Amino acid sequence: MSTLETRRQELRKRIQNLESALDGLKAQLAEIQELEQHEAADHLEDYLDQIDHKFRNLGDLWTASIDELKGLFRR
Amino acid sequence: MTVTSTPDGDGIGDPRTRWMQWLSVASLVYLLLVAVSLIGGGFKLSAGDQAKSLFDFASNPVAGLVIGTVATALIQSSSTVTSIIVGLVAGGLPVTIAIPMVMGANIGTTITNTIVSLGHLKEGDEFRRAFAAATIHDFFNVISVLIFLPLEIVFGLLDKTGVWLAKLMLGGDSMSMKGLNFIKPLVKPPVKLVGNALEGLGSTAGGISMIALGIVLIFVSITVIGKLLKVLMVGRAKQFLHAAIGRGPITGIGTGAVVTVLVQSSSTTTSLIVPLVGTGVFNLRQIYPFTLGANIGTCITGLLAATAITGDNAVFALEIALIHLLYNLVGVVVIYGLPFLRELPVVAAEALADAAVRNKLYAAAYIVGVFFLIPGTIVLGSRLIGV
Repeated sequence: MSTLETRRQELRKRIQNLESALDGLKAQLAEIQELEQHEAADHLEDYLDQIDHKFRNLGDLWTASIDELKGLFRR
Repeated sequence: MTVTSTPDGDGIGDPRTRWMQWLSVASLVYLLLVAVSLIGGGFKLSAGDQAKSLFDFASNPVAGLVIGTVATALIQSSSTVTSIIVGLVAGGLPVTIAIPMVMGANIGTTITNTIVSLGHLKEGDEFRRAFAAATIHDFFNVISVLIFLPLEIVFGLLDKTGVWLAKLMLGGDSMSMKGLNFIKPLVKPPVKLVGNALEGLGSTAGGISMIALGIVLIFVSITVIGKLLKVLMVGRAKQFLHAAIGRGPITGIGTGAVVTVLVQSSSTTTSLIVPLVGTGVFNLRQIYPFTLGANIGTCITGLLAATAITGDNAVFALEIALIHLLYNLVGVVVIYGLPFLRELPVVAAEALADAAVRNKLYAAAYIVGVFFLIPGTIVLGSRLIGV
């Protein structure tokens, strides 16, 4: 077996190992993300209040827009 | 009405209070059905067979679309607007005019979660994610209108399918639902009572009063139902959300639809997910199917409203409610089913969110432009050129 052939096989094996390690890490990450998502879903009722703050949100946008406009004319 | 939830969010703690809340929901659903019937009855009383001509101003499909969009954006409830449309169809509004209106209601309802996303305005990345999560729904509904409204104008596909479906359900054969509808006899007496009470005003004023009362009652009943169900069903909604985590898009669509049916409001469903994406726990692609499910789930109110309609126009009322459902189902199948179309709302929402983070004026221009300025200009322009 030539040196090049051996090197190629070694590299293939390393790539396979790295890919399976990567898959394992991805699976672990997905698991953590899902746990975070379950935790967030547990607090769904906390977000109900945010729906009732629409006028305050529009007020914030108004203020931010005025500031941006002032900045635009100052330039 | 004050509604409180238990700390664990599983609805109302005290069983007696819980029963009272459910009894209130049932009463309000009944009130909604009566209200829808009042609108139909009011039109019949005031305009009789001439009711159709009252809607000539909206005969242009674009005008219908704009009316649906602006009305829903102002009221912030597509369920209210579609229920009113069902009532108007029962009163003589042609289904062909009502179709663009329900399409517009789909666009108008998206303003609520867009405004909710503004709660994250001061947090750069959080706002970008939240704003994209809100506007993906807008872009999906706008693309849906751009595809299906021209097709409807040219071929009338939704109208024809709606006629077929409504006849199938209300037809004279033994498989029809006509004999099974127990709602109509329940709704008739109070409508008759209101009609008799307003008889003294004359047919025109009495009819207009019935219509106005119907619209107000629809608004009140849907608003209070929404407030009650939001708290009563949050525990159940959580269970469905937990079940959908880590699953595919079809489960996401199904969960979005079921949660919307439970809370009777697509705005609530789509607004609830905005903070979930804002915090970075869910990403845009994960919640995308969930928002599409909300479009489907919201059709339940219109279908419920249609069951209250009696008389010759009952078939048309059911037709428009079925068309609303069909339009949303086909929209999801076509736009989400085709990869190149599926990506469009994602790309557009992300691009707009990036721009809005750089300059808040983009967010302001988007809200004012899409929901009010562009629709207003279209209507004014079409009036000026006489279309």
